[in-house]
Amino acid sequence: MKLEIGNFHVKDIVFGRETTFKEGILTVNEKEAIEALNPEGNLKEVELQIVHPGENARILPIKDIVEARMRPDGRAVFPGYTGGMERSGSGQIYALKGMAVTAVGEYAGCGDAMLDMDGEAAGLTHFSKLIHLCFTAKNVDPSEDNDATFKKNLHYRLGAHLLAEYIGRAVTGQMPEEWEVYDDAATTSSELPRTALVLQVSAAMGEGLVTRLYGQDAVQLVPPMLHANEILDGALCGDTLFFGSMKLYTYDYQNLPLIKELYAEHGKSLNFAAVFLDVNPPVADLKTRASERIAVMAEMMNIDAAIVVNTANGHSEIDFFTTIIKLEEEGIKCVGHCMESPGHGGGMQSKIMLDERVDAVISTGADHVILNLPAKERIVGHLGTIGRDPYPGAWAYDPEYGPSLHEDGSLVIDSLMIAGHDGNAGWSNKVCMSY
Amino acid sequence: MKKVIMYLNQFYGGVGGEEKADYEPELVEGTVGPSIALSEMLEEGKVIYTIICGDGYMASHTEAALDKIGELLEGVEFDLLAAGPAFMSGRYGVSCAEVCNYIHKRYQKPTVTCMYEENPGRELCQQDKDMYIVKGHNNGAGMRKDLKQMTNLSDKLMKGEEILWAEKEGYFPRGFRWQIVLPEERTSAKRAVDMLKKKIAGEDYHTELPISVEEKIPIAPPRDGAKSRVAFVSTGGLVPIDNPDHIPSASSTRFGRYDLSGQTVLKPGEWKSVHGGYDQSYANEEPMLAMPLDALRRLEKEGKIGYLHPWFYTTTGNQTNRVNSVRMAKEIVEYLKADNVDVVIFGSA
Repeated sequence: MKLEIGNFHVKDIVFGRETTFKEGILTVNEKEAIEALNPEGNLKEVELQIVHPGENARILPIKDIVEARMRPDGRAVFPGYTGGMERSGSGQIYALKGMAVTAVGEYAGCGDAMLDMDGEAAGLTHFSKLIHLCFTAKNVDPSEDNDATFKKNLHYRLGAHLLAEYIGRAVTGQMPEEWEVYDDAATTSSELPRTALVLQVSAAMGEGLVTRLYGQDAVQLVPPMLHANEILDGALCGDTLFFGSMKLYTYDYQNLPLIKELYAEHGKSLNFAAVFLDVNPPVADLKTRASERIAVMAEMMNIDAAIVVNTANGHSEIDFFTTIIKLEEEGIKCVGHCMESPGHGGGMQSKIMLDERVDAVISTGADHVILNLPAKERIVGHLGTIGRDPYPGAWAYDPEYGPSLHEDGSLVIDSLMIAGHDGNAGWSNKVCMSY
Repeated sequence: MKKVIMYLNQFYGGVGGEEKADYEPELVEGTVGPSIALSEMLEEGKVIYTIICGDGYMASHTEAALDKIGELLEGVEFDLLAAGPAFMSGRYGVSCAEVCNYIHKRYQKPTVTCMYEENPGRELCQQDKDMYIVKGHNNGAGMRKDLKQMTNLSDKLMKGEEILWAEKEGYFPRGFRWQIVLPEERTSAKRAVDMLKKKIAGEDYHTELPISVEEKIPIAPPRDGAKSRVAFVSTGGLVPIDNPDHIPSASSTRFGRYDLSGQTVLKPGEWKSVHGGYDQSYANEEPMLAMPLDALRRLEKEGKIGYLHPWFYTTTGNQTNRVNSVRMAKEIVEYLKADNVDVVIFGSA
C-alpha cells in the first residue's frame, strides 16, 4: 500500500476575507469556518482563536486535536466520519504541518485536558509546539452541561474534524513543499524479521466515548489488523474517555511516531508487516480473548517481533501485559511502550500488573506529576472548569494541596491535566528512573 | 561547615577483632580509622564524632545499643550520619542499617551507608527519601573508593543539591521512580525501535521498567458462614452522597468507613459511586449493586452468616496502586481484627 502525504508548512495563521494558504500564511474566513464545523447548528456561540507556541496562554477544556488535511481526489479525510466510507491509506493526501485544529468546550469530563503554550507544562507535551486554531463553543443541548465524568462531546469532536477538513481545502490546487512516502511494498525483504505494532485503543466503555475506527465506535471491538497507512490517514480518530494526558488524539494517529520509526527501519532491519489494535474490555475473559486474538493474527502473519503500546493505566495495563505474554509465548520478541504510575511520592508500584516475562519495556515517564503553574495572561476556554468539573488531574479540594485553582489564576494540578503529557504515541522524551 | 557523625564497628573503630565484638557503643570525639579519611575527603563538612560499637553487641542487644547511642548523642548537633562501609560483612551491614534507621527516625537527618550488594543489611535498611546505601565493594580493599562514593553523596546532601537517580549516583534503588526529561530527539518511539532491534539481534538491552515480582498470598480456605463474623469491604467507590472523606475517583490514597448498624438497606440519593473507571449510573440508581446490604441482612437473619460487622469500608480501586492498596488493607484489617471478623466479602467495581 502506498500513501503519499504532501506537506505544507504553516508559519502563521491570520483571519481574513478568504480562507487561503500563501507563502506559509494560512488565512481563515471565520464565518465560513464556523459554518463548516457546525453544519447542523448543534453548537452555539462558536468563536475561533489562534494561539501560538511560546505565548503566555492556557487552553482548556480541550476535546480533541486534529491535523488539517485535504484529499485531492475528493474522498473524505476521515472516511466514515466526515464523509462516506472509503478505504484510507493509499493515494495522496495533503497535510498542513506546524498547526492543529483544537476543539475547546465549556464543561469538562474525564477525557478533557489543558494545554499551556509556555512555561514548565508546555515543555512536557508535543502539542505546545503547534499553532492552534481553536474553536470555543457551547452545546445547544445542555444534557452534558453538568458534572458527569463521562461526556461524549460528539459535536465538539465532529466539529474539530470538519474544521480540519475545511482548513485543509485552503491548499487546493497547490503543490506541496515536500512529500512523505509510505510504501511498504517497495522495500519489503523476505530476509528481515516481520514486525508488528500492537496499538491499544480506547474501547472499554459506552458508545460515543471511545476511539473511532472509520467513524464507528470501537466499543466491543475484537482486535483487528490494520495497515499502518490507514492509521496515518484518518482511519482512527480520538476518544473522549482515556485521560487527556495519556490518550491518543486524532492528531497523534495522523502523525504516529512509532509507525514512522518502524517505517524508517522497514526494509533495513525489519519488515513492518502489520498493525494490530488492542483493546481494554472490562471483563477478564474479553481481555484474554483480545490478547489471544492478537497472538493468533500474529502467528498467521508470521510475525517475529512486535512493539506493544499501552495507552491507558488501570485495568488497561492487564491487556498490555497479557498481550505481551501471549506474543512471547508464540516466540515473538516484544518491546512494550508504556507510562508508569509511581504516584506523587514516587514510591508506588509502577504498573498494576507485573510479570518477569515482560523483559523489554520503554518507559514514557510518570503519569502523575504535581505541577505548580503560574496564571496565564490569556485563557482560551474556561478556567472555571478547574475545581468545578471532574477532570482527572484537578480538584476542588485536596487535603494536601488545597484547591487546584487559586484566586490569582495560578494552579496546582496533576500532569493528568496536560494534553499529550504521556506521549504514548511515541512522542515522549521522558523516562522514569529508579531512585 | 556541616557536622557529620560516623558509625564504625569495633574492628574499623580500632578496638579489636572478633574478641571485642561485644563492645558497647562509645562516642569518640573526632575521627578514627575510616572516619579520618572520610572527614578529609568531605568538602561540605567534617566528622565531629565517631560512634564505635561491636557488631555482636548490636546484633544481640539491638535495642539497648540504639538507646545507648541515643544517650551518647544527647545535646550533639549534627547534619548527617555516615555508617560503614560494611563490605560483605553481614553483621556490620545489619548494624549500619539499624543505626541509619534509628538516626533517621529519631533526628530526621539524612543517612549514608555503604555495603556490597549481597550484604543482608541492604534488606533491613528502610526506604526513605533521604536514606541511601551506596553500592560498595565486597572487601576492605575497596575502602578508599567506597569512602569516596559516600563522600560525594554526603556532600551533595549537605549542600542541598538534587540527588539524581540510583545508577547515576551509585546507590541502591530504594523503590522510588521519578520522571526525567531526556534530550528532545530521544523519543520513546526511537528508543522502542532501538530496543526491538537489539532484542531481535540477540544483543544486550536494558529495559526501562525493571520488574520485581510481588509476593502472592493464597486465598484462605472456605469456612462455615453460620459461624462466621463477616465484613464487607469494597473498591467500588460507593460513598455517602456528600462524599465526606473526599474519596477520589482514581488513584485513591484513603478509604471511608461508614456505620451501617441498624440499617437494612442503602437508599438511592443517600449514596453514590465516585469511581472513575466504570459507568456509575447503575450504582447511583441502586447503591446495593455496589454494597448488597439487603442481601447481607437477610443472610444474617436466616443464620447463614453469623454476624455482620456494622461498618462498611470503601475506596476507589481505579488506578490505586499496590503500595497504597496494601497500606489501606492493613489499616482496615486492624478495625476488623478488633471486632474479631474472620470473613471478608470483597466487592470490586
